[in-house]
Amino acid sequence: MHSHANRLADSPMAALFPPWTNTATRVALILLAAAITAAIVTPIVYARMPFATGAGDPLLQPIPFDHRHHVRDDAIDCLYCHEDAERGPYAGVPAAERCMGCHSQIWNDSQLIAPLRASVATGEPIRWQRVHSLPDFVYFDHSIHVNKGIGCVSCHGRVDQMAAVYQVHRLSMSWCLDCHRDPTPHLRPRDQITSMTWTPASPAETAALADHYRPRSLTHCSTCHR
Amino acid sequence: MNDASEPPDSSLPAPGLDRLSRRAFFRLAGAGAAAAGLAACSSRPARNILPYASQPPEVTPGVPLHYATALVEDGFATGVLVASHQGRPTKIEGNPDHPASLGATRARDQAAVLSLYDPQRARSITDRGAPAAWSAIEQLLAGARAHGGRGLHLVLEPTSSPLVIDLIERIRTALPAARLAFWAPFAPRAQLAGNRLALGRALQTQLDLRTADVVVALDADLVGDHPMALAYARQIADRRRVVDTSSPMSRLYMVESGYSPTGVIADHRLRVRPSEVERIARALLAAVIAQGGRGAPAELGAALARPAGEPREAALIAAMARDLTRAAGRCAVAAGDRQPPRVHAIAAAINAALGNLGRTVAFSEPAVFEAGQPSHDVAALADLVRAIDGGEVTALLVLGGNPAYAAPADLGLAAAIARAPASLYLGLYDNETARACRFVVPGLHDLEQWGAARGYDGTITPIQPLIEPLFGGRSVAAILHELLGDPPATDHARTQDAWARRLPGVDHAAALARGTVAGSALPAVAAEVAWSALAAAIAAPPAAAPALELAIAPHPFLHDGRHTNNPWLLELPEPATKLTWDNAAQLSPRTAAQLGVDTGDLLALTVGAAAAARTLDVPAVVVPGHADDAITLHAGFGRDGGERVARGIGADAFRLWTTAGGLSPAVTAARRAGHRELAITQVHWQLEDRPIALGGTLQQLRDDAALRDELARHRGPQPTLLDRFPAGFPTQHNQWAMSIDLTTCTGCSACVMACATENNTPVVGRGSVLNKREMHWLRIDRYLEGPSDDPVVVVQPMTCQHCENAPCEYVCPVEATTHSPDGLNEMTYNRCIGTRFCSNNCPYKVRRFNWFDYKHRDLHVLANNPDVTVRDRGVMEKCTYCVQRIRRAEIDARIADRPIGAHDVVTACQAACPAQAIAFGSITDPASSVSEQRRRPHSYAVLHDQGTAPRTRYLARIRNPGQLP
Amino acid sequence: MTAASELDELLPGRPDDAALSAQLLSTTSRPLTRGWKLAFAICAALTVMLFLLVALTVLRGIGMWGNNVPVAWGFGIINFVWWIGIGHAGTFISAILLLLEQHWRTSINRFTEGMTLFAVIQAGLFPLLHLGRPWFAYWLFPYPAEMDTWPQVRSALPWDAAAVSTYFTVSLMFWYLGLVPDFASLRDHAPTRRRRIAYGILALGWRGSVQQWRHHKVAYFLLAGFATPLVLSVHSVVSLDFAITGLPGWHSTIFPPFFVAGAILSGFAMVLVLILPARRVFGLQNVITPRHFDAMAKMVLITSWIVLYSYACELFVGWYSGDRYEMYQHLVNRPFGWYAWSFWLMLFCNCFVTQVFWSRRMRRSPIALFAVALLVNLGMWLERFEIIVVSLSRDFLPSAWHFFSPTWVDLGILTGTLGFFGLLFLGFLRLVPFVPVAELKQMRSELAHAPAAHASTPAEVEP
Repeated sequence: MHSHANRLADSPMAALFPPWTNTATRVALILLAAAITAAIVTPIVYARMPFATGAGDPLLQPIPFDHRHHVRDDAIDCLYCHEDAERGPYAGVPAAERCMGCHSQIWNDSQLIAPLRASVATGEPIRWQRVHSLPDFVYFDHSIHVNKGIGCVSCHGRVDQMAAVYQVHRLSMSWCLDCHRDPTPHLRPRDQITSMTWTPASPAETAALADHYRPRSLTHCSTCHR
Repeated sequence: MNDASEPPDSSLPAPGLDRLSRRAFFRLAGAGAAAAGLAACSSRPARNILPYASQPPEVTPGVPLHYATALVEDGFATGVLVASHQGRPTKIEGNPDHPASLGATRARDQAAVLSLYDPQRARSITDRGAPAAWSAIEQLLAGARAHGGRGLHLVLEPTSSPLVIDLIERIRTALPAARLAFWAPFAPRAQLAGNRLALGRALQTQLDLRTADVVVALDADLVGDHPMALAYARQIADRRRVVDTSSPMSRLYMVESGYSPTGVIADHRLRVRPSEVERIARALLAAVIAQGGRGAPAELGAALARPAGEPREAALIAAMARDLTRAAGRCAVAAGDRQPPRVHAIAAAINAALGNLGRTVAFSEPAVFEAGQPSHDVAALADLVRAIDGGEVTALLVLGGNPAYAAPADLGLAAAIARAPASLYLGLYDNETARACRFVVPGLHDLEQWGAARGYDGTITPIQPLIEPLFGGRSVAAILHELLGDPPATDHARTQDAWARRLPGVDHAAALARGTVAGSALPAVAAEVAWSALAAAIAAPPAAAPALELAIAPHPFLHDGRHTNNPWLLELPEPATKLTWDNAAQLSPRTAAQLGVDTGDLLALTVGAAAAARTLDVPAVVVPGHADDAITLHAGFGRDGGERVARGIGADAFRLWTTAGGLSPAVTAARRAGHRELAITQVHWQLEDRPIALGGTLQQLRDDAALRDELARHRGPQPTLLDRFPAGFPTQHNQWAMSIDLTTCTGCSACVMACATENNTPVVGRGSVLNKREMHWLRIDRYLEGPSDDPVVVVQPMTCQHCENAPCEYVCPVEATTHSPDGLNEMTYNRCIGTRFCSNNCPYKVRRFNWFDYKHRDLHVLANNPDVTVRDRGVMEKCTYCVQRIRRAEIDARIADRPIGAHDVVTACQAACPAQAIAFGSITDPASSVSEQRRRPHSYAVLHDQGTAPRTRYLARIRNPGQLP
Repeated sequence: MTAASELDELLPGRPDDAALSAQLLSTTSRPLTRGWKLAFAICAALTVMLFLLVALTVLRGIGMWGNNVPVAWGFGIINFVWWIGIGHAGTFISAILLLLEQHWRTSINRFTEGMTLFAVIQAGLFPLLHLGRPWFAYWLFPYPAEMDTWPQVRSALPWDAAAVSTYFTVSLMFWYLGLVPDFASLRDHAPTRRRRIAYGILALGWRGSVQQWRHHKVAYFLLAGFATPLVLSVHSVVSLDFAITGLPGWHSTIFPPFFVAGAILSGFAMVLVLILPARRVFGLQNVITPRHFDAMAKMVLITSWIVLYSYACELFVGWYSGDRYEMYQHLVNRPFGWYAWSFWLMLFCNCFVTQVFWSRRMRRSPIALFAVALLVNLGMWLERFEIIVVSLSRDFLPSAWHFFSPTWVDLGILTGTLGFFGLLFLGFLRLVPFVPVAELKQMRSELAHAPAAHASTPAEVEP
């Protein structure tokens, strides 16, 4: 045994590996460990970042429609334009005719709404950019949420303060589940659905709302996936 | 080795939406939101929102609208309700108010939406294949108009439309010299001729089986292939449902060669060759008269020779006569249209002798214009050929149908049409006839046009378009108007105008809303059997049967070939053989052995002698229960037109159809070298003594405790360590369940097609079916019991059983298949990574896997249901109990703050079933039909011994055979 | 036998350290033979084909394989289980036999460990590849998903993934740890500087000091102890992929031991298939001796009897259960069904031919060993075919029964993995001393200086 070890010890290793290689090796090992950790952690973090979820990024629309002006200044109710939110799965974007209801009177010659006039004239739809887009395998239904006391602001944020509409929340499955597990805190009276500012006066009010709507915690898959 | 690695449905074409103008696409897809359903899981959603420029008030994006209209075949209308998503028809349901539908549909009705979006439809007017202008057509028609229409010949499909009839009559007066023929290969002719023999007038037989205790079908596939099949299936089923041990049950006798859906549910089935049916009919008439048939001259009975049939046949005839006589006035005898007029005459006579006339059997004027007249006969086509050869034809207009393909081959019609100096074809496809004609004008799909038609019973059914003509087609009426030189007008205006004139006082709008004109059924006409004339007509005994005979039958889904370009229907397993993407010579095991062939071996069928001999090579398929010395071959295949899906599939049975031989000619068959692997979806047909498709006779169910106990053993509680309902399930939810009645199920497969259309199940193509990769969530299992040459068939719809202890759920590594609190076995496609572990552990093998990317690529995507995810490659899929319909109903009920009603959720298969064999509902509601059916003495669970506790239960197959003397 | 006589059997001629080093390290430096090049070329070609077919499968879909419903698992899983099984002999020999003080393991353990690694690499391809959507394979591992979803622990598959990856990691460490001293000697004997540096890095600064040897020994034995349960656990977990289902032919409680026995059988068979040619080519008759063959042949014989017993159990339980589906599966479908030939061939290969090893002559005859080993490998592949394809092709509903037939892609991938395996193995033979020089020297000195008739214990090895 000895002889063996000794002969190895006499070998010309010093020439081969100067002392700094020890440090190099240690550093390399640490870097390796760090790389492996990073490879796992990075995507997990990334998936939650705004530029992965698309949150907070206003899109350029064919018409620079300003919700601040229409909602805050003119106090037009959400449902006036997004009327299907109460009736169907999609809140809907108003037909050009609906816009023209007002804009045939005011700003009717503005260059900004030229695409709108064109659409009414030709019947060609305006190609709006979709801001809140869920995957195709997610079946979200506006009507049930609106009718059961979930307000616009809960998911869409303070649209009344947006020049160009952007997505506020992650709109990821965990985000949906946060509410689906316990909807009660998010409930509001039916007549306050479109309010951007309403908050419950007291826990008692929330309790009363829960009592009224009897919300269910629906977390099974086919609630949203079909 | 197999060809599983061949690309999926390579047969399917792929000219994409590019061929369709963007504008048209927006019109179709409506609000971009609806496009959500079109894309597949895990692919990015549409990034644009396209609102209407002006939104129709009735439209709410995402909420389908339903419109009543009709699908017409051979002149007979079936009323349907069509679901439309923002102007995009996606789903067809039966119209409950329509007597020929009663809410049900046939498989081919379901598939009509795919034909609508067929990218291979004729798209533009052509002159010998080259693009042409409408003005050219106008010139042609103007020329045809000259000299009172001399030299003008028209070939139309049989029509019952008051509006078209109006035009035809105007043409008859305006252009007296014009010649009209009406042609559809399988239009019922023999029945009218037969009734002329028996009653002196070409009348249409109207059955009312609601009160029939005994039904004898002489080669008549009442529940499968009949213009009124949906109604008859319901009427027969209603008389055969077993609720408890005291339930009455009608008795059904079937005499046939092939194994039809009617044969499947029959209590007694006598398998004879088509030509032998007349012998049976005569013997039956004789026996009925002998047992004191009213009004029938006894000497007639004596005159009819007794059959020299084998004992079982004689016994069955005696039993039929006995049961019929006992149930005189409450029974019916029906003859199938493949049978010659004499058999129909005899059937009418038997009904008369039993006093059924005016009770279960009535007669009416034909619903179809001039039906039973010479203009509907083969002779009319023969005249046309002669006229063309005689140079008398200056203009030939073929409006609809496909006579160049679907007519007796020896007429040489295709060649004759091609020789006609000026010819025009109006139709959906660039088919054989289109290729023979000079001008081709794209026609309109039923869902694209205005019009009207009569149901078999005569009920007037308005037709309205669901969508703008996709390829700018023209209707038959439009051509006829042009021919008459009428001023231009829209089809809509013309329809309303003609409606007002032909049907004064009938509100068009109201009729459209309801889908029918109430009380417009044809009145029964008093008719008496002219016994002496009848006796004379049937005096001569039937000709001796040839050694081997052929029956050219309409395909249950493709009919006469008009649907052969529809991949959905091609891939739907043919009920008797489970054969897809092909037709084959069906023959009995004995005949197959004699010919030395087995399934897949090639046969050369020859009809006619020496010079006039016509030969066709077809693969054989052995069908236990088929009559010996007979071959059944389905029409509709071997297409040679421009339809790329249909081209070159199967063999053209019509090539063996001669004016002399008719549709049941004598044939000789010889083994040919070669073998064709047939895409048959079921390879093993025995039950192997396993508790799967249970059954017994009504007598046993009543008196035999053993059967009742046996059935009870297959539904009782099972010992298990796992959570079990109700423990595992919160009861404030509904608990969904299904019950399927094997007694009334005919195996017609309408449910399978309905499921596919509702749930976007893709077409996989022949190659994939060959390797057992078909995608149908619901399949119809077919089991044979008893002797192999004459077995009893049990059919069993098999789909996800939604087990309470689902074996598939605990093996999924990612919980892509889970259990919902309302008892559904959920399948979450977007979570599935495709280990296929669930399929391995499913005892029912009802899970389907996307082996390739099977998604629609072309215009067909528009047929997709936007409420169901289109599955991507590599994910598992299966029956969901139509969860999208359940959730919709749930949301509506919750918003309206009411519980879900008993009829709020109807699954696609349930809606389509003509026999109402499928019940669906919540078992927390003891009043629901499911709960009621689960309490019945013959309710049981398949593979109950596996402890899976399936939510789908079956009602055992109960038969009601009589004593054979 | 005494330690001395054992040594004479295991290391005839008792070559000294220098001789051993010279002989065993030379395999990495001696010029390449034409035969080796040819074999390498063939394996490389097959490997390329393998990855082309893998790409094809991923691009076009699992449909490229012959799988269908009912037979939703086919060649993919068969190959997986087969390769994983082969991977078992390695750890068994290196770990368990080490703990059991079996000296005959010494000269073949690295060889078998190498085989283990490369077999597990082949096996590892399939769980990933057979997925419908392999790009989502990471869902099998528990991580904080933003979907709030987790893998399902009731299913065997996440455990499968865990077990296989653990097994691979541990085998790799064990193998490498054993290699370190030999890398050091290679470093010292290597002709060129570049090689010295390369081997020097791999040797991790091993100088063979007493302290290093002590640590090495401790670590080596600890790893052995850690690896030992894995030998049993991995294939037990794999067997659960089947045993947890209700499928007739899968639904069985004897699967874990049955699978482990089968795995070791196929593992030893594969060792023999590989080591016999290598011994001949590299002239190692003096380190790999009939004594080694004898021991391995006995292992084959024993495990083949355990396997035979398991088959018997399956049949008996199938009948004894009285369950009509089990009875049909075991008494009708397998022995007389569509695939009866595979059943009988499997029995012949796994249970009958192995009986020749009752004879000492056969146990020591390279020809016999090689032939039997090949047949056993075939038989073990057929066993998995029997379990997976045959059981699935006829389960509960006769209406759903259907046969399975492989596509050219299936066959190509199977051959491809054989080529890939060979490629890695040839590289291994070339680049590292596949007979553990240092351990061999130790063994020699242990046995030579063993005071008593019994073998020495680790403690006494210390200087």
